[in-house]
Amino acid sequence: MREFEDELRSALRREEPAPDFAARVLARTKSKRAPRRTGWVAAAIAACVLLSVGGFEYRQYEGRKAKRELLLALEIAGSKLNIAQKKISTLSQRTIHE
Amino acid sequence: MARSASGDDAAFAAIVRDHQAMVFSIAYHFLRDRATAEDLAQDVFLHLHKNLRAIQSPAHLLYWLRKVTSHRCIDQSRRQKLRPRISLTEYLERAPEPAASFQMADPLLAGVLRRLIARLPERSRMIVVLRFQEDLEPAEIAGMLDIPLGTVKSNLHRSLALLRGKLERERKGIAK
Repeated sequence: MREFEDELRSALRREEPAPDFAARVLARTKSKRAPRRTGWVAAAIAACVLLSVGGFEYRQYEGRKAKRELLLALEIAGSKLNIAQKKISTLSQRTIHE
Repeated sequence: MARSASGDDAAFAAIVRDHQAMVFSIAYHFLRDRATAEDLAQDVFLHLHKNLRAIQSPAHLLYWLRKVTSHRCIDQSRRQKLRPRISLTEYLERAPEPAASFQMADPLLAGVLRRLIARLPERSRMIVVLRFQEDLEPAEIAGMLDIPLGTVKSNLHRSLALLRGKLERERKGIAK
């Protein structure tokens, strides 16, 4: 049995791959790194675009909000003016009658 | 190790050169095809390159490389051939005899043994490769392949008995 196991060890002894094996592995690690760099660049560009679009949208939203608030303020001021006007006209009518 | 983890290409190349024979030979003895074995070995080292920070010591590196190579070989073989699940004995009995031309072209014992090993089912084949190429103990093989120790021992015992029987028949065939 021992002899047979030695025969197996001999049959399965380690062998070397092609001489340029390590160089090819290194080349592949570099080619794998390159897309990662472009990937980062693409991600950075996408983030910039999103931020600017987001900023623009936010400014638009703020503008619309300010407009709505101004209109509301004008509406309130208008109604207060109407009340004041009515009171003035009532007072002036009383003064005339007296 | 630390140098290669921090992106030193020369250090990583040294790791590849130190272990390329082991990784390639496990794949080659298992798959019996040099080109496929080289591709698989390259993939293992690329995977290592991405995971260098997880490697804690030279012993861990050796274990990691053997484990990843073994599992990838078995997966590759299963993808290539979706063989029916039959017993080891049935498998070897059904396997075709080597062609006469093969016996004439490769009469060396090592060649015959490699051909016989190549006919074993995936798991048995990997157990034999790890035991006799890498000189691993059954307990180490069990840990590497994530299978019980008893399974490794019984599988190894049956594989050796079958390989011996087959080899004897081969030898008688050649002698005739």
